[in-house]
Amino acid sequence: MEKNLLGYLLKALDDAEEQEVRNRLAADPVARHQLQVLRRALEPLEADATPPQPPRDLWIRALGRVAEQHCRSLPTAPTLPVNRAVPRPSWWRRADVLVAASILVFVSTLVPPGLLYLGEQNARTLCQQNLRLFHQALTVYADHHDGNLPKVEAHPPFNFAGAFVPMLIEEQLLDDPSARLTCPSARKRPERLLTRAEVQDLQQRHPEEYARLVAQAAGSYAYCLGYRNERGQLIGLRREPDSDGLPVLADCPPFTDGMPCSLYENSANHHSKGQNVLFLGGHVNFCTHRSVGRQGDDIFLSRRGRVEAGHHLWDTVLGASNARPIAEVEQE
Amino acid sequence: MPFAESINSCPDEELLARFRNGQTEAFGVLVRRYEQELYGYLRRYLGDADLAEDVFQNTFLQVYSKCNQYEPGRPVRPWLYTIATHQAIDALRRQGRHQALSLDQTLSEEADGEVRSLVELLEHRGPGPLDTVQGDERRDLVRASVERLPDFLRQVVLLAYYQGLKYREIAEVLDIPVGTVKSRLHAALIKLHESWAAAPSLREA
Repeated sequence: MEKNLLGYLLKALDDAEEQEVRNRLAADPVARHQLQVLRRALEPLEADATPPQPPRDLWIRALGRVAEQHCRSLPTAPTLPVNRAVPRPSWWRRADVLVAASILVFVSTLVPPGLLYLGEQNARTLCQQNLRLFHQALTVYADHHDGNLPKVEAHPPFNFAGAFVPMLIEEQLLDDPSARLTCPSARKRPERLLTRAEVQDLQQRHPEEYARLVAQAAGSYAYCLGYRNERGQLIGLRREPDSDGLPVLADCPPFTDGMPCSLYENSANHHSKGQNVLFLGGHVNFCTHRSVGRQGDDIFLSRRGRVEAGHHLWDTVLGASNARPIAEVEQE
Repeated sequence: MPFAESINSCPDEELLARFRNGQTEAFGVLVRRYEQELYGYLRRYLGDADLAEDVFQNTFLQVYSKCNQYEPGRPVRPWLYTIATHQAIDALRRQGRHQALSLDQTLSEEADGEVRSLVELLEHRGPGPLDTVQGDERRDLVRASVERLPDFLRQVVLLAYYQGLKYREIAEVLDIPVGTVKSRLHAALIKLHESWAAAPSLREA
């Protein structure tokens, strides 16, 4: 009976049991006394009755995680000989994208105050997906090039940050590259994607068109300009045991024409609240400030505060599409 | 009634049915509806905010994956708690914190003759440290003593007292008979009152 009295106090009994207890209480003063004692037994638990509050927007992050988990199909990096065709990574199926989008987008209609925030979170998540898929393409490229990632050259025509795109296209490592190069939040989509041969041809025969297309080759993203060694040689990134924490690709910086407008401003892709950064090891973080390179290095500027190749391996500089590792005046 | 209002007022079972039929926004409503309740349960059960957040997200990953295993017509709430509890146990196991239920514990709780009376314990108990503290200190003492309970007892206290589930629902969540739920709750309260009456060990919490 004692256990059912407890259940009665906690409203944990079925209807029939509860009625049975009520009947007993009405008829039995001992039961009523026991009920009072048991009520006191439960009182101390009331001290911790306030439920823990969830972190802000936990439910949105949970939805984002569901969408991320269920709406990507990640191919394993193929290990094929160089002279064989590289299998294309499989990307999101349209149905999966629609499922993810409908979960996230429609929920936003139920929460007017959180609509904008939900949209921003969705864009960040999809942008991170783009970067993770780039990592796969870069990994396969490095597998075929002795561990070297696409390198921005010191001299024309491939001396611009966006030059990594024609290199990946040439090896058929990007499926639907135009979409992959577009941050969902920024919608800065490349007008035309160039092969290496087209880049060379344009630079020689149509320099103005070359300059225009170079400026948009990398779409919404910025790529590593490499660094200069002690002899002044331009070196690209390569996979090394200690290099997982090096930034490789990120939302493009808030610069125009390669000139910094602020030392602290974030990428405009996500309303200047931060930028997604892909690190060489494959992880992607949304960083609310730019000093996320090694030893707090600013990922958009060299240690001299310029858009140029870094001065050593840890001096990462991620440049927008038309950023050059070495200034043209210096080249001359 | 506008669509947003209508889906928000759907009972849990209808939300899940709509989701199974392809109305994916119903899933989002369900997640939001259970955000506070399930997080609160997991936070208490796991004793760690970050772990609770992780398990909360994993819970709904499982709900999304296993929605086809849900039997239409069954109450959704206990089903969600079942998944959440399993995910929490897995998380504790990965951390090496989960206590497997021993056979002795199972036997002792089923032997009616060995179950002490909570009423008798309380009637003969003198004042203890818990009676002399108030506010945050009292809350912390109570919380610590609940966290020190063995898993199999802590589960029923959290589900019955703090989460307000019925015995039948708790039995379903933990996959044990209703009688065992009652016995474990009874045993848990005895243990708690014994710990609250023991001055030195309580202070050490």
